[in-house]
Amino acid sequence: MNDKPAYCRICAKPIPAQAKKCTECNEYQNPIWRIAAGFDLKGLIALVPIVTLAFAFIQDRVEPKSSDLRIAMVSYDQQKVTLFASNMGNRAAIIGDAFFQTNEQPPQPLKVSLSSEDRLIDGGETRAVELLVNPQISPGGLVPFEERGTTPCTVSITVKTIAFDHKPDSRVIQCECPK
Amino acid sequence: MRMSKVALWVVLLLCAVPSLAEDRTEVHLFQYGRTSSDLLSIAFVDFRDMLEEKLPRLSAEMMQTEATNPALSQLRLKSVTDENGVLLRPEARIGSLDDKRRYWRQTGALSVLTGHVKQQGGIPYVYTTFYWGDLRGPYPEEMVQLVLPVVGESFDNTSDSHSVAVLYAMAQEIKQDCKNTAEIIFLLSEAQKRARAISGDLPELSAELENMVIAAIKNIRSECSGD
Repeated sequence: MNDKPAYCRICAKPIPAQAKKCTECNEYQNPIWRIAAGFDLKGLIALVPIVTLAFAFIQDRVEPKSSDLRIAMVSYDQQKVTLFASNMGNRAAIIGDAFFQTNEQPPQPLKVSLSSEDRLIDGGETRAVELLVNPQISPGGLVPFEERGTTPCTVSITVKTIAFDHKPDSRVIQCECPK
Repeated sequence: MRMSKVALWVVLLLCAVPSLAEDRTEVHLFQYGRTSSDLLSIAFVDFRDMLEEKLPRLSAEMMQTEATNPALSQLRLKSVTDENGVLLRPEARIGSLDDKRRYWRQTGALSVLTGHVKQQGGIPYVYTTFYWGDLRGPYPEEMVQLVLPVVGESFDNTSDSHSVAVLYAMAQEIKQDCKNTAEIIFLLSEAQKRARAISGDLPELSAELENMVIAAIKNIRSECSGD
């Protein structure tokens, strides 16, 4: 009977010394237990969509928004260049104009065989692109006659791109002159 | 030792470059004008077939003689067509003289042929503007006007104005300073022979072409005489 009298931490009524729960107000004496007891399953379930939305919102704010257009050449001949454009970013990018330059000759335009809508490449998308030589401007094709047989002979294909934030950029592919 | 090796490679590279250079051996043909009627249209098709046959024949004739330049064996007609194989009208590619110059320079054509077909005295005549660009030699113009009657006698031989012009242009193309003078004079002599052969039907053109060839022969002789 040396036990000191105990009182409820919530309602201050006398309770047995080792009691975990008040016999009067039915509250847990340990704060952790009290908090845990405050949650119920329904409340937790209701939190799921809120947390999900909050996560998406935060991720959207935190993750950088960018387009990352990468270009790979598949084949080329005197009249046509075939390449694939992949947007590795999470926002759309635009394929702009293209041109080629053979050795030190002045750059000549290439016709991009894509409609205006198809020039827009969404994040994660890949698209085949054909670049055609303009026979009126470059009747000799990618390598004009006077450059044929020169060594080394290189053709640079430049594709202009517009990033998600409207920032202009360009991708350059260098290759040997087609035979 | 190392420098000498580098120098040797440079010399080898410089020697290799001229051998890689291509020669102009293709005659590029565009759709001729005034071919709307059936007769003239058929005449133009005949003319095209005639040229397709004449150029390899001319190659073969030259290779059987003193001419040894390999470029001579590659003479051929190239019809300039769209993606559907339809012969292109000149305005689609060479609407202006500047376009024509660029086309000749960039494609490596020996000559670019445009023109029209006209009926005279019941015979269809093909009038060709033979553009040879820098291969004009001493001739003052970048192009020469040629005429060819589409008649039986024009087939299966190379005695015609177009063959004269092709030989003349080829002589200018393969001219290597004064290293192959004999071959060039031989080609020009063959051209002169063919120019004379058309004097019966087309005396004025024959005289003009012969004079042109003679002037080129004189020119090369004076250039390479060593005086």
